[in-house]
Amino acid sequence: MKVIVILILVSVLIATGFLLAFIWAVKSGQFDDTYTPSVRMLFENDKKSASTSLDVDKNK
Amino acid sequence: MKAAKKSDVKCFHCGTVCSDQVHYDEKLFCCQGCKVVYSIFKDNGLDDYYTFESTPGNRMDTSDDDRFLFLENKEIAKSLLNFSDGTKSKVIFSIPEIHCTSCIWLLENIAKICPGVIHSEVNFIKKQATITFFEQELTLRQLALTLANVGYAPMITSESSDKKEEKPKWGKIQIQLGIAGFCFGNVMLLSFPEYLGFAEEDPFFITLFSWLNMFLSIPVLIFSAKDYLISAYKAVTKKFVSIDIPIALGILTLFIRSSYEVISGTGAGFFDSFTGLIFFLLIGKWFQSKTYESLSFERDYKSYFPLAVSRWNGAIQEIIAINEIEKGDKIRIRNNEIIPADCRLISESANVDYSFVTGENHPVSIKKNDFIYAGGKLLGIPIDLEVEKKVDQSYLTSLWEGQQVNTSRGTKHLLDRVSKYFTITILLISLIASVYWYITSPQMVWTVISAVLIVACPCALALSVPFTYGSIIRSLGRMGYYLKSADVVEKFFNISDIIFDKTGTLTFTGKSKIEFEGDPLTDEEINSVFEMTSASVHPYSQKIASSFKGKKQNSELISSFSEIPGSGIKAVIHGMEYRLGTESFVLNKPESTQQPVSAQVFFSVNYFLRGKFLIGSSIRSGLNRLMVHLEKQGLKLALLSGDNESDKEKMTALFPEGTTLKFGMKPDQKLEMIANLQAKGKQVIMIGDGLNDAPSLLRADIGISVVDNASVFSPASDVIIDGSKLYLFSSIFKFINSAKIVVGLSIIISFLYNIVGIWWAVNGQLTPVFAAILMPLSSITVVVFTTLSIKLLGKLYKLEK
Repeated sequence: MKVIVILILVSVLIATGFLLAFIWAVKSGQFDDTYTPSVRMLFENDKKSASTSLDVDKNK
Repeated sequence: MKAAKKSDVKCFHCGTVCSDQVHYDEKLFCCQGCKVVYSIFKDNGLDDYYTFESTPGNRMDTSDDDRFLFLENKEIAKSLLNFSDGTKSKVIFSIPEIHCTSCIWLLENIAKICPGVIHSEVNFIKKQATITFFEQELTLRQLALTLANVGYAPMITSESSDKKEEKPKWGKIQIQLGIAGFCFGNVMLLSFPEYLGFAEEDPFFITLFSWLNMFLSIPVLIFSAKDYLISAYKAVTKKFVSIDIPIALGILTLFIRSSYEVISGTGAGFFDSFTGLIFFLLIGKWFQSKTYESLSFERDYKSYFPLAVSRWNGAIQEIIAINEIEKGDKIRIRNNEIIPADCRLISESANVDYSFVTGENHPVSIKKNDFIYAGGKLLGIPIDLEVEKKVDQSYLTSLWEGQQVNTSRGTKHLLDRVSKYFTITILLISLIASVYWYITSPQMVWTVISAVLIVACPCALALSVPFTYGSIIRSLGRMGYYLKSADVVEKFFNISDIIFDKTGTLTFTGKSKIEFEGDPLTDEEINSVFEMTSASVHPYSQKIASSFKGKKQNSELISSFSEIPGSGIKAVIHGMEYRLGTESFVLNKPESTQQPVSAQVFFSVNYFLRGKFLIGSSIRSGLNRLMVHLEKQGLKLALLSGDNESDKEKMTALFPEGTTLKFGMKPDQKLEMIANLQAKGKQVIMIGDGLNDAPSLLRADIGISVVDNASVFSPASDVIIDGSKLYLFSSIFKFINSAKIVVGLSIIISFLYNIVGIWWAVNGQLTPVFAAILMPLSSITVVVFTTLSIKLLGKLYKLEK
């Protein structure tokens, strides 16, 4: 039965990982605009704009 | 779109019904402007723009190329940039025209039309575009002009240069909520064995779980519940009772008692209730904090003024920031620019539109050496002015500054008033209970006191108001009524007076209704009138010209044209002499001594009177019924207009009998009226627009600004209404007031739960399981009850319209 202790600790650790991921997502502004990305993903990228849209400079 | 009837044909670019069609590339356009934009897109491979939505374009104002001249000034340009490293710059533009999918696509592909742009990203909700570009290849002004030329003119005000990147408050509550939710879920899971009664079977796990629970609760107390504790502390030090005090008391008791139980090994504690409580409270807060990010409720006079102005330095013009203007400077103002400071006119004459400042509907003509107040908008040819006062000392500005003190009107919230009695009652109950238990069995005293404080924690009570008001804000938002915050809802409950402004509020601004009285004009006559009025800079001419939509100018038609100030214009077209102006002028009679009636333009062909154009302000539809309904609800109405009495008849007909109608009111007189009413203990709503109402909007208990396009300009106010929805106001008013009942009922519901809980607590029988069930149950009941009843009420009142 003591194995449950390990299981619980592991599960809490994993859950904490997801919590940190959530905090990161909020801080990096992923929840700031919940509409535009849903539209943007439907645009067809041609080759030129595909390469430029990758190097988005994020400055705080 | 099949070209069926002429009137049904819509412009391929902007969707305006075409009266005069421009053919290009087998498509139809309403004007040259739209065609040009289309051809720009087509030449640059951006014609996908038209595939996402049909007719996505904006009609352009093809005014002049002097726009954004102020961006040439390095200081101003720099203040607008969010980031610059010498080669690359980043700017965030507010673009009110963003309205559909195609807009996003176009603006994110703007680099194709505008070389030098590295990357652009649109935030649709905020109506902003973040654009990164190479400074060497592109100036800020070129960028702004390019955007304006394709119909997406950025709105640049002092606001955009003042606040750069404001810190998002939004993110904090999301993280608090995330952490509370995470801990709540895990604590619930770990408490399950305890609920199911496994405590005796395996004491090792139960101890382990309760210690884990305690550790999981620490971040909730320190981070998620922080704001409640701080606010309660502040309330205590300032000696007033708010809802946060019983909440903080409950939170602390819960945590301390639970920790004590776990550490001493006497029980499992109430950590599940604790984390759940915080989680629900935060959801309420989050629900209430609904904001309209594309709207600004805080604009002051500065936003109305241009950022820069051109000043004469000898014979050359230089562009200087507005706060650098000194007394005695000579400045040049162009068509449609706002005059930034109190000035004296150097040029011969000027037409100034003061509708923003005074509410006066018709342009004022000003002669050489006359005084011009700041805030007027120039119509017509450029003028030179000599500055009399610095910007921050002008008449309007001073009016505003004097008002700043009154902006924070301290009203006590409904919930805080309730919680005052609530807190006292709870403290009394715990006192009586502890006295009783002290006599019967003293070891139970602390258990009972803490149990009472825990169970009395007004979670459901604290949720009732946020959810009711939050739902109201959302319902109203769908109807075109945008509230600044949930606090505004409460202010509606005690309103006794409603004051209306006329121009722009009850009537449309800018767009005057042009009617022609007389026999219908022939096509040729319409063309001639259009040509003549387009050539003239007189405001009436421009109004008449703009009423002929989609016409293109062909000035070669006119063989002789002259404008006689004070009388009218005459032109010879195809050998006929056309005249527009005063009655005596068009009939070529000597000028009568009678003062010409304003807002009338006569039209004659070869001295034969054809009729007259009436330039009137048109009243929004449905307002007659609105006034009747409002009066029935026992509200006292009044009209305070800055305009002259020309519309008095219309207004008398519109308002119920005996209503105070005042014309020619200056901004400070309006303010005084409101202050007087408030001094008599009345609570006032001011409904207005524009800068002339701005001080009164701030002063009134609720300031409502009416706009025709919600994303454009509105002065600082509590509510922003879409002008076309003004007629719904009486239903909205009833709707909000019926919410009072919903709040009342939900408070009763939460009290009932509290009474049940307290009964158990006083009896010393509060178990963790019982608390863990009661608390979420009461919260959920209140949430469901309030949201559902607001939805129902909304439906009820929407049916009524």
